[in-house]
Amino acid sequence: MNELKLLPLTCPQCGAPGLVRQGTRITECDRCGVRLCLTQTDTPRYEAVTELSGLEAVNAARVWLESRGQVGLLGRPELLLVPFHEIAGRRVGIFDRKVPERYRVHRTVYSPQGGTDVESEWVYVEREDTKVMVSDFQQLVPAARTRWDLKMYDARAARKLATLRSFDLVEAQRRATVYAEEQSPAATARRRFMERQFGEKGSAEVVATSRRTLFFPFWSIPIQTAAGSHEIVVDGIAGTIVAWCLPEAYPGSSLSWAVLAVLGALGLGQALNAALVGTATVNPVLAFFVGVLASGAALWRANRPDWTLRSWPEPDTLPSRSP
Amino acid sequence: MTADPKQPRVLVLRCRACRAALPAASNDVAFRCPQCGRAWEIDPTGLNERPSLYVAPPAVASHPLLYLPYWSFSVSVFARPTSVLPDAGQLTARDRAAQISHAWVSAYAVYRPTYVGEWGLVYTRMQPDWETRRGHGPEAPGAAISSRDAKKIAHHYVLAEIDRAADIGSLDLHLEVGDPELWAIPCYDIGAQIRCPWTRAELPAAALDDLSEIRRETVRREA
Repeated sequence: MNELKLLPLTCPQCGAPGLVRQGTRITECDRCGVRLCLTQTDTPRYEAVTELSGLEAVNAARVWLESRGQVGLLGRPELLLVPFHEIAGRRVGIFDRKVPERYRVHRTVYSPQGGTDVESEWVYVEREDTKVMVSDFQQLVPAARTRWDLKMYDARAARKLATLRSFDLVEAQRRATVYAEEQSPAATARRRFMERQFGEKGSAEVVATSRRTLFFPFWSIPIQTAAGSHEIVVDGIAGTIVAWCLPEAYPGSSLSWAVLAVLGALGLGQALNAALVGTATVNPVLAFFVGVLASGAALWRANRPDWTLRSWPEPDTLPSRSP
Repeated sequence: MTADPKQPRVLVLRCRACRAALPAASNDVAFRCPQCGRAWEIDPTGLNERPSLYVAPPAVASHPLLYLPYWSFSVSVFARPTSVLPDAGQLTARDRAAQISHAWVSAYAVYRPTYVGEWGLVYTRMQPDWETRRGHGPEAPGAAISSRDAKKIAHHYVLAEIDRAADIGSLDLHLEVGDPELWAIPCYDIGAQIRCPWTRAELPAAALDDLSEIRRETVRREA
């Protein structure tokens, strides 16, 4: 998917052969200069222009790090371009709904003792109403899997701030790491949008839809501190910290996990000894379960990565963009 | 030899009447000839002509003018209450339906039109009595929304307008939406916003996807 595709075309006016880049609709003939229009195209690709330079991203990361009371060596920032599928359009339809209504009923009641009295009560009904719906929709769905969590990234806010320009893969790969799209925009629309949004409202019709792939910029900055290696991901448009990798603080030290592993081995050895020889100093069943638990915990700790990724920290830890 | 259906068809963007080159933004599906003012829309068979009109600007323009494209449809709507004793809302809806003669739909790409405002819907509600002209007129961009989609939207605009007065389920409705016409309606370009001369409503410039291309094209042609 993430390859530059060139489609062959022939100018209808002069017959000159030409090539047109994937996603292009309007182009010009190289020979006669006439403007040409393709009747069907692939999804156009755009790039959100990076407002933040690498230096500004490093500054934002430094400010954020200082706000956490840490100091570290900041590495060279790397620009990452991550694709998002933008699916937009208008939804029209007519549907029936039931509107709850209540009204008061007054009744005249006669009694020989009290005379005429008026009693009132509320009557609850459901009124049928035909509603005309004209609304719009816009979905920005991540089209690639990244090291950090993109679910909390506000792509809509970035889309409002960003200036778009046509995406040139070759040029983009010269200055950034470009993430590959994992599925086509049509598949994304089908899976993520149409089924979820319109599954219940069958009468709604989607018109004037447009599908685009937008590449959003992110800065990845490696940081080395006394506590270990870090990575901070900065939004390339707004300059906010999107995610970071930090060594996780475990409650126990490595030595305690080693002790647990030794205990596990001893427990399993006792259980094995009881099963084969028939002698055991402790209950073999208990020794077996303790051994399994301790060995499992030690193995889980050993295989767990040193880093975890977190997104959107507490608001006060977000740095303000440097002037 | 038959053409490969997978291969896109290539059209030359020239006015079929005067052979002038048609200006086109990247998302346009309909174009207005800068020389003779005719409008052409792309459909699977090729370029089809659509009636092209433009609205005369206000007599005194307070800001630079910019023309935006709209699809306009003549509308014939008849509403009759189904109940024997109609209520006031149903009578208002009947009268309102009789007043609607045109529907407009914005033909430029707007980002979240329900949120920022859709002037086509506003004009359908207002039913303005504009002075329209045909033929060679001001520099106006092409349309980014097809007339087929716009017709469906216009149909629902009219129904929504009647539904504001009374539930359309309680009315016997007969609605016909006519053929599309590509209109160019002026607005004031005031930098970060564009303003409607008649309603004074404002639209953020950032909400119009192709505004930079429209501005660039307007400046180029004026030069």
